[in-house]
Amino acid sequence: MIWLALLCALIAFALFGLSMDDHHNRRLGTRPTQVRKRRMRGVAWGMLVMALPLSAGSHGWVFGPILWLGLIMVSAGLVFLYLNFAVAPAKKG
Amino acid sequence: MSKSFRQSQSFLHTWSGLVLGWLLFFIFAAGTIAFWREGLNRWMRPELPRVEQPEVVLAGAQRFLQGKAPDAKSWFITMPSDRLPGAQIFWQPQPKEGEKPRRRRGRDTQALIGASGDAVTARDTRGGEFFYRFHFDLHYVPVIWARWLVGLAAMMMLVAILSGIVTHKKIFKDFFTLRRGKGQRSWLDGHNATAVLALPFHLMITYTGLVTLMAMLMPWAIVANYAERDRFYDAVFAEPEAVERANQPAPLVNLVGVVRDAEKRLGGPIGYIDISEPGDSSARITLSRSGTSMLSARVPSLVYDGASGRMLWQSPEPGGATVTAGAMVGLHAGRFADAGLRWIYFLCGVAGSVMVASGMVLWVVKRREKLPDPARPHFGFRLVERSNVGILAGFPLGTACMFWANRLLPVGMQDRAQWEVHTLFLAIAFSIIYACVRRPAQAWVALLGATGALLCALPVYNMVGTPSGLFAMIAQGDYVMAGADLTVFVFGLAFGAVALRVSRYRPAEKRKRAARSVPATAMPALEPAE
Amino acid sequence: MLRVLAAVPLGYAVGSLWGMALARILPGDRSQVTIAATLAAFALCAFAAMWAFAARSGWRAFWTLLLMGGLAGAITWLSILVTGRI
Repeated sequence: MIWLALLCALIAFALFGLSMDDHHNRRLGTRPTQVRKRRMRGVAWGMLVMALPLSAGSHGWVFGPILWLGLIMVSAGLVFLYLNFAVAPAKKG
Repeated sequence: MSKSFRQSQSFLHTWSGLVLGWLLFFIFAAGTIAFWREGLNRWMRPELPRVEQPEVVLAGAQRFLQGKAPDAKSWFITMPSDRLPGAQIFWQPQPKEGEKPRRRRGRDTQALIGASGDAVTARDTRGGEFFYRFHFDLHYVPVIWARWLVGLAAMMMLVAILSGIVTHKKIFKDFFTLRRGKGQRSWLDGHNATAVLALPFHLMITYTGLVTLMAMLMPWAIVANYAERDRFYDAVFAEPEAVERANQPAPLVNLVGVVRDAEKRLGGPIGYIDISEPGDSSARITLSRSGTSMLSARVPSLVYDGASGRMLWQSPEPGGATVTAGAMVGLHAGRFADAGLRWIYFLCGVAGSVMVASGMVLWVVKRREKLPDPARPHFGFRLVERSNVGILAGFPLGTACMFWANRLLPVGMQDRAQWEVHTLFLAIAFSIIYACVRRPAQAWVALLGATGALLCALPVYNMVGTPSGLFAMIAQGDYVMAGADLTVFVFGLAFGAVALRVSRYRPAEKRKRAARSVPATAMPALEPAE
Repeated sequence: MLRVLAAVPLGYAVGSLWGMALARILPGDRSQVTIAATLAAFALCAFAAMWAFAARSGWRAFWTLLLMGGLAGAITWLSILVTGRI
């Protein structure tokens, strides 16, 4: 269950990151619209919140929230590194 | 948020971070390494086999103490586990007539019981304990001064973090930003990234660090409520009544059985065993739960009668504030963390160390661009620039040198453990001197490169020079030792990569601009006068 | 700068004094309240230091903190006079 929590956090930050103009452009080819940004961020927040009960489910309500914050930080870091250092696909046109 | 408020906090952030920045780097880096304190305790004593059966070790400890110090005033045993090099035991002899009882634990009243249940002698080293102690007691200075200084630094760190949050205008917008190859802006992005991405950790570790020292730093609330400090401690740290020695011999009950019973009652593993007046009818066995099994550092304890093995006393339930403070100390030490969470703690600590270091470098990079005469920077700038290299690169180099000293210093050497530590500081001193005589760019590359080479070579040496080489440890499933070797190797590669990157750095943009706007006789900004 | 004097020694004093005041006036078990007040005091020190730099002038920072500290000290002293210490 903790791996599921990690997955949620990773997806959340991936969505947050991709909702930014530069990263969206670099990875998906177009700049995101306001609507798309709001949707992506909404889902991202939802995933972040969902990771909490998943963490608590596997480690209890004392260690669960601690682990949740830990997973959030790790996911933020991993997504940051990927978005900034992984080679982007060639731009169209 | 008003502009001038932000500006005022920006000024505060820079200076509260800068003034004790190098000390903060030491604290952060040493503290981060200290998360692996127990692992290092084992890794720096590679000749000791892993503890497989803690009960065998415990029985051996009791046997040893019974033979060595049957009439001691007290015995103290640290419960063994596969994470520790063995059971560390101490004993306190009976005070002679008219002599004050010796509180200090001398060298001749302690021993290490290894995996087989017999006393072992390992190479004299402080192991991981050095990094743990150093990050709040420092070294070469009286402990009280050190803790006040560290407390001041921690408060400045807290102020730096809070003012940093206030100052950072686009915290969400810039969350994933990393502009590369843009000099000052790149350093700012790097500093922001390591700071913001692990912000919960940084806030927590700084605040809880202060709380850990609160008895010394903030005793005033106690003074306000209690006419005598002892009354506060009696209220919070309840203890059973002390018992006088009866001078009637009675054999001590088997500790293994007592430990099993205590673990059932406390619902968790035991960490420490304290036996007063062993072998006497007044003997008392105090068992405390291990801090690795619960969040609060205020662990509960049980007291048993030494002769009969009957439970006599249980520590009372702590109050809400006690639990909160205990949880904060527990969060700081991270003793409760399992392997996964410990890695998260460690990586956040690395991020924190990089945050402090990049902040110091950022200051230099920013100031360099504003220098009125790049060929003759003012003293403050030169001081920070050179000290940055010497200290920020010196500490990792020192750590690598200390690990090598741990491997190579002769086992019988006098004060061997102290000399391992001296090696670390000698390396830092060397780095500072080196940074003063060479150009910063060269010094960075040389020092970081040397660190990388030394670290990468360590696991290789371990395979030939110690019985705990990487492949042997993997074969035995000993992931504490294997993990240490691998981590050291990866960090070696990382330092090497950074050294390579720095050596290839060419500020082409800056040179063109410098050539255009500045007379040809002035030197480019990156090469200050030697 | 006056602000540094305000932030560091005065900031620590203000945080400590308000810690003492809180320890006196918060209701509940004395030992628990003492610990809670100590935990809060660190945050108060940090905020005092931040205020020392945010205030419109160095003098303002100095005097405001001095007054805040004095107020806390007065509360503490009066409370001890009335109910005494354990």
